[in-house]
Formats: sequence, C-alpha cells, structure tokens
Amino acid sequence: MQEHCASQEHRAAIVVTGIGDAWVQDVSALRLGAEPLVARVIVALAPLVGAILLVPLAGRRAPRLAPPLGRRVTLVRAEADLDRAGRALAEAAAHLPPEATTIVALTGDMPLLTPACIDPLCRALEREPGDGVVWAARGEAGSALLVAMRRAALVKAAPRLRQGESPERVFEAQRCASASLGVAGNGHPTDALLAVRNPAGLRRTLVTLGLSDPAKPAVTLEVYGQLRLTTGCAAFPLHAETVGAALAALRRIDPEAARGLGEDGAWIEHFRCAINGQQIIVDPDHPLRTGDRLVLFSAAVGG
Amino acid sequence: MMGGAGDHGMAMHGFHGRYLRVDLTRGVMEEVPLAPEVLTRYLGGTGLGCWLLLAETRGAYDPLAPEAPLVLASAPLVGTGLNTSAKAAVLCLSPLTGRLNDAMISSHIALALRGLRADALVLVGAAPEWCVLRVEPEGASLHPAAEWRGLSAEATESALRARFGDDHEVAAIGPAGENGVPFATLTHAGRHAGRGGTGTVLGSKRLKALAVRGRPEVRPAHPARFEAIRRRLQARSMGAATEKYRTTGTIGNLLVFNRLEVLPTRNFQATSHALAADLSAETLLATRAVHRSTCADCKIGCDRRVELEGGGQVRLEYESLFALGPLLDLHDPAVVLEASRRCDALGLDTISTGGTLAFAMECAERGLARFGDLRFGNGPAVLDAVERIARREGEGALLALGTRALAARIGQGSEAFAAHVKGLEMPGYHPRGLQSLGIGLAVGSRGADHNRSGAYELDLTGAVDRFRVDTERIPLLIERENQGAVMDSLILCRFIRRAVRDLYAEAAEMLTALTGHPFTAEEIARTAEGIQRLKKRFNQRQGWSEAEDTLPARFFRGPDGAADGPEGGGRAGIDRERFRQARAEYYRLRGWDAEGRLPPEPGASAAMPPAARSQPAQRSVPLGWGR
Ligand code: SF4
Repeated sequence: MQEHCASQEHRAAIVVTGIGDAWVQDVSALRLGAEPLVARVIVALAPLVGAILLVPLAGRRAPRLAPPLGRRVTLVRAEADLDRAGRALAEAAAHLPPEATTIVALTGDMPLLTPACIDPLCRALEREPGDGVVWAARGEAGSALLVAMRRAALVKAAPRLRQGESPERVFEAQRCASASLGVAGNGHPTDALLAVRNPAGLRRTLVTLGLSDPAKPAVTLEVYGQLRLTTGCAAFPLHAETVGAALAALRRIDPEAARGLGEDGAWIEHFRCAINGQQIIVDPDHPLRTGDRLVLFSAAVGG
Repeated sequence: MMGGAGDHGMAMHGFHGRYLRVDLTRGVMEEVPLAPEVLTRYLGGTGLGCWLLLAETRGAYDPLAPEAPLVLASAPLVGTGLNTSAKAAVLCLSPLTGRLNDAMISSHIALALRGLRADALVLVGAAPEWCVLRVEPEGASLHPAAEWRGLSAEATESALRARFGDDHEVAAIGPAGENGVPFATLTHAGRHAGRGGTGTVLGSKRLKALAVRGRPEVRPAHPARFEAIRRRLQARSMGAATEKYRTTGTIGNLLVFNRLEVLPTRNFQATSHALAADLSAETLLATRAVHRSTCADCKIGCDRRVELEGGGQVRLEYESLFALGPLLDLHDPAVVLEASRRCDALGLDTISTGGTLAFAMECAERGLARFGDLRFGNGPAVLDAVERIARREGEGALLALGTRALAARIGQGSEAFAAHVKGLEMPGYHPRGLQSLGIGLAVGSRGADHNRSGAYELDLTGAVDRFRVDTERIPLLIERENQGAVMDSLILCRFIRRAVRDLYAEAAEMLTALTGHPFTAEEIARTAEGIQRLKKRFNQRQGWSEAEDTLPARFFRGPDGAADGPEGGGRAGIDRERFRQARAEYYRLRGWDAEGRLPPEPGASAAMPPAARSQPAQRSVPLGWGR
C-alpha cells in the first residue's frame, strides 16, 4: 500500500520578492531565525503547491535559499528589469508549468503565513466556477497581496499588468470572492497576517495576537517534524513566562497545526520540551528566562 | 498433507499446538507438538522462539553449523487484523555476536507463516546445494537456486513470486548473506529482519530464500469482545500517540536527536552534526518525492520510500540515515540514500555496515590501519566499501568481520572506540546523553539493540535525568524491557506502544477474548520475566560472562575521572562507578546473582528451563524436490 506524500501538482505559486526594504533593514529585529523571510513564505507554500516561481524585482538580489527550499523553486529572470509587482506576475505567467491550473500569487513577504492560510484560499478558488480572483482578506494599503486565481484569469490580467497597472486594481476588478485565512480560527482579524509591512508592524501584530508581551521573557520555541512541516516555521519568537504559556502561544499562532498539542496541559501526553536542548521538561509551569530556547518534540521519540 | 495439532487436539483458539521442523540435511519436514503450558506461558514471537531455540539445542553450538536452528515464530495476534500485528519473530544464535539474536520480520510473510497452521517454523540442517525452500500447508519442497544466486533479495522475491505465484510470500537474502557476511539481513517486501545476521544463518543452510504460501484463519473464541478490542486499539492508534510515525516516520528522529545532542557523529566522537538538517525528514519531505508505505494489517504506516534522482526508490528509516550519514560524517542526501539502497540490495544491515565503516575510518584517521581511501566524509569510498563488504573482496573482507572482530585484529587500543555491545554495533543513540539507555544496551541479551531495551524512552521523556545513571531508575528500565518482550511475543509493533495504556491488562484482555483461556495481567507480567530468563539462559549456555555487559571505553568518563573522557563526545561520559552500581541493581532486581547469573531453578538444568524439551515429532514427510 502506498500513499503519495508529494505536493499537489495542479497548484503553483508565484512569489514576487524584493518588496520589503523595511525588512531588509531591520531583519535582525525580527528574530525569525536565520532564514530570509521569503524562505519562510516558501516553506509555507511548499506542502500545498507543486511549483513555486520566484520573481525578484529589479535591483534586488535573488534571496539566497537554503538547499532544502530550492528544489521546487524556479527563479524567473526577465530580459528586462521588472520594476513592478504586476510586471513580475505577468512575466511569471509565461513560466508556469503546464499542469498548473490553480495559481496563488503573493507580492511581498508575509512572515506569519502558514500552510493553514494557503489551503483555504486554494479551496475557495477551486469551489468558484468562473475565472474570477479570490482574495485573501486584505490589510492596510500597501500591504502584500495574496490572491488565488485560475490560470486563465492570470492570462487575462497579464496585458494590464504588463502595462504597469497595480495588481491590486487589476485583481480587484476580477474579484469573485474573499477567503478567510486559516489562522483566523483563533478569532483574531484575518487581516492581521497581511497588515505586516515592516518590523514595527510585525511587533504590533504579535501583540494583537497575544504572542508578544515585552514584560514577559522573550523566548524562542523550536518545532520539529510535523509541526515544522505544517506551520512552515522552524522557530517562533514568543514572550512567555512558562513552558505551558509558550505552547499556548503556539496554539494561538496556528491553531490548526498545533491541534495535536491538545488543550491547555494536554500536550504533556504526547510532546516533550527540552529547555535549550538539555533537560527534558514535563512541568508546564517550568519558568522560562529571556533567551531560552524551547525544543518541542514528539514524545514518541525513537523507534 | 501435514495435519495440524491445533486443528485436532488443541483446545485453545489462537494457537495451533505444534510447530514445523524442516531438517534440510535429512530432507524431511516434521510436525512437533507444543504443550498448551508452553504456549500460554511464552505466547509466541520472541517468547516462544527463545523456548524453541533452547528446546532444539543441547548446549553451546556454532551459529553457522548445520544443526544451528533458525526459528520463525508466529504469535497469537498475528492474522487477527489487530493494528500492527503482522509480524513474526526470527531467532537464531547470531554469527556476529555469538549471543541470542531475536529479530522481527513484518508484513505478508508473517501472515503466510501463520497460514501454515503452526505456531512456528524451525529450520535445521543444511541443503545439499543452494536452494529455495517452499513451504505450503500441504508440505514443503526444495528448489535449486542457481538461477537466483547473486540477486538482491528484492529481485529474488519478484522472481520467486513469478515462478510460484503471487499467493507465495518470500523472505530472501542478498549477496551478503550468500557470502557469509555476519551482519546479513533477511528481507521481505523491502523490510528486514536486519540485525545480528539472520540472513547469514539462512545462507549457511544454503537457502537463498523461503517461499511460503498460507492464509491465516484466526477465529477468536469471543468474536464480539475481540472486535471491540480491535476497534478500540485502532481508534487510539490513529491519534497523537502515533502521529510522528504517521507523519514523518522514524526519520523524524534525526533533527531532534541532533538538537538534543544525542546524534552519533564521526564514530560517536561527537553528538551532533553541523549539517544534519540536509538529511532530516523536514528537508527530505520538502524536497523529494517521498511515499508512505505500510506493513500488512497496519494503519500507522511508518515506512518511508524516497525516490532517487536516477530512478527507483529507497526505503529510509532513522537508523539507516544516522549510520550511513553523520556517523560517517556524510550529509549529502544523494550519497546517503545511495549507500542505503546498496545495503538493502546487497542484504547488509545498515547499522552494522555504517558502524564498522565508522570504526575503520577512525582507525585510519589515527593511523592505526588503512582501508584504501576510506575516510570520514568520503562518500565515493563508502559506496565502494559497501559493495566490497558484501563480496568480501579486498579490504571488504576485513570490514565484513564487523566492528568487534575488526578491533581485535587491529588492536593498538582501538577497542576503546569500537562502538558495539557484545559484538552488535551501536544504534543511533549516543549513550553520553542517554545514560539510561547506556545501561540498557550494556545488559541487553542481544547486545546494542535500542528496541529490546527501550530505555531511551526514560531519557527522552523526562522520566529521569538523562545525563547520569543511578540505581533508582533500574525498576523503570526493567519494566520497559519486560513490556518490550511482551509486545514482541504477542506480537504488536513497538510503534503502537503509546496507544496501549496498560499493556499487561490489555494483553490479557486481548488474549482471553482471542483464545478463550483466562489470561490475567499478573500472568502476562510473569511471562515477561520468564522470557527474560529464557534469553539469559540461552546466552549463559553460550558462554556469557559479566564482563560483556558493558559499553566501550569511549562512553565512560576518562580514567582520571575528568568529565570528558579522552575520546570526547562533547558531553560528560558515564561515571564508571555509578554504572557498576546500576548494573548490580539490575542483576539484583532480575533475581540473578552478583555476577549476573541465573540462580538454579527447580526442575531446570543450567541449560534448559523446566519442560524445555520438544516432544517427539508426530509426523514426518519427506521434502519434495521441485524445479
Ligand atoms: S508502524 Fe511501521 S513497522 Fe510498525 S507495523 Fe506499521 S508500518 Fe510496520
């Protein structure tokens, strides 16, 4: 009996990169690990799409991606400099693999994006009959854009995009529905993800989502295995006073991915935490100190 | 046609009350009765298999002598459809260790063996020429194997199914088993009874493969009760308790072990590898096509098959990744996957292969010996060496000895970093950071086998301080070992263990519903102890002594008591005195004497447990010769 675990070949994503000067300037402040932000976006997309086209804008260097991220990613280089997101999308359309019918397009970095956000967007599109564009709920003006559309819709939009029209305007004209992102399951505004334009915005969002409270110790929660694959993140920066509080924060970030942790203290049955990779903690009230790194792993370790 | 004592004479459901003994030298298959007391006491799998090894032999013997038995023991739960129950135990005297070797072989071959309507199949003697042994409910026959010699186990399996029909299940050896490499595997459907040389023993009988046709028909004594138990286990085993095995498989261990600094690296000289992420499940699943596969009667499906760039697939598990990756200072997935594929094709145990290569590399690094270009990090040299080991060619003939024998040849203090226990190469768990497991491996009847001990669970679940040993944890360690023996005798896969809440009570409930015999949790607990005694008795008969219940010097603190021994490892070593105290406590709680020997039992000789004499064969039929 065999079951294929590879991604879905009928879906492809186009990621326009190089928008976020603000991030580049202050990337260390984000404490999102050593990865460039676009790498996090790609990790979030990878389980759900068969191909990812990465289009750097003019004057930007293509991000250096760690080898694990490289295989499904094709770097699209245009003859002419692509100075606008719309032109980059139109250029990428010509490089889509033939089997791709559902296209997810992102312009910019969305550091809180997870696979749980992408899936509802694709599903919403796949339920729509025509060639409209499905929007993820939108944040403040100038935020990154996250939409899904059929290939035909992108082909239709391409001439206007090539003319330099903004993708917001072009896709707004073709909008057929809005999808609610998975992360909204925790009751926070779905816009929160897209409203993040710079480190200050990220910090604001983390506070809004209850993930950040500077009065509490700043710690990092490292996740492995299924949690890493489904959240698309290797590590989460958090403010938490105890191990239990740190895991509660993870549930707020991505309730779907963290479902296996169960409610409140239930995680202890199936997970373990090692503070800084050393002693293994089973007490949810174990206090944390600023700088601690919590290694969260399955209790079914070994075998 | 062979009869079946279970079908005429055995009152209990779930057992057949007989085993089949195929004597390849005499060319006969015999049916031997098994007393109900033996079956209810030792159940099946490892428990029954140990009893049969003792019953079939009379004293110390040579693992590759014709009279050495190879036991394939079925078990009461096999064929019931219970999740993860399609397994058989394969037992022999290991040619690698000279001690008991109890392995598992999984999936359809286990169901076919159960379909022979016998509780076990025992092979003794040696065929007059290279053959395939075909066993069916009606009888057995030998088939000349000249045309399949030199083939991989997988290719042999395909060829034999094409010859005999798809209703036959095949367990085969590769070239390594034919060439007598002492860590050759016995393989079915890409899964191996891997460690300790079960394939070598089959090869010593001049058997290339075993082809079995049989369909299990297990009728529980209380069908409704048994069905309720089956459903309950099924529901529990699909939850978080098995999520890791279902989502990443065991390869998910690699990155966690690296982070916890227990990933054996460069022949255990270090506890983590800077580039381990390249080989991790998280990377492989994101960058390669990975297929999930399962044993028969399993809904968990821990098995991962990774597509290779040049075509084909390789089955990957954590132990292969660690042994052919960080242990050899390799991190390029293309090289490690290819090394694993070659080991599988040639029929080599990946842990012993990697362990021996790592030891040879360190000897080369220290200038103690040379093995061509074999050095840490040299992938092409590893790929070449794997081939040579299987053929016992050039340096491969030395490497094919395994770590312990190679260290004995090289000498010059190399024994201190020869990573084995009782001759079995160490698994992918660094004992400096998992010190309970260190004790568990040292006292293990099979040598360095993490699954027979299971003590890593104490270390990795926070039950104890993993960086020290003490006597307080020994009862917990014994309990893990006992529970493992019960799972291996029922049989249930170890990976379902977290879905079972009270193993002895639930095992008693399952067995009662299945057999109609009233088992109790207390009896199952006694069975666990009894199986451990059988294992001990077998090893004692083969010459076991306390001195072998230890770890290589590398894992202890330095002779000056310094926190880090001279061999490094990045972590404080195990304190020798505490280790000795913990081992003494283990012997005491097991009821053994201060030197770790079994006390005399009423009615038992030193070599045999009470009633461990097989009864005279009831029937005997000649083996046919086929083409
Ligand atoms: S969990 Fe894995 S090893 Fe165990 S029975 Fe299932 S597939 Fe086989």
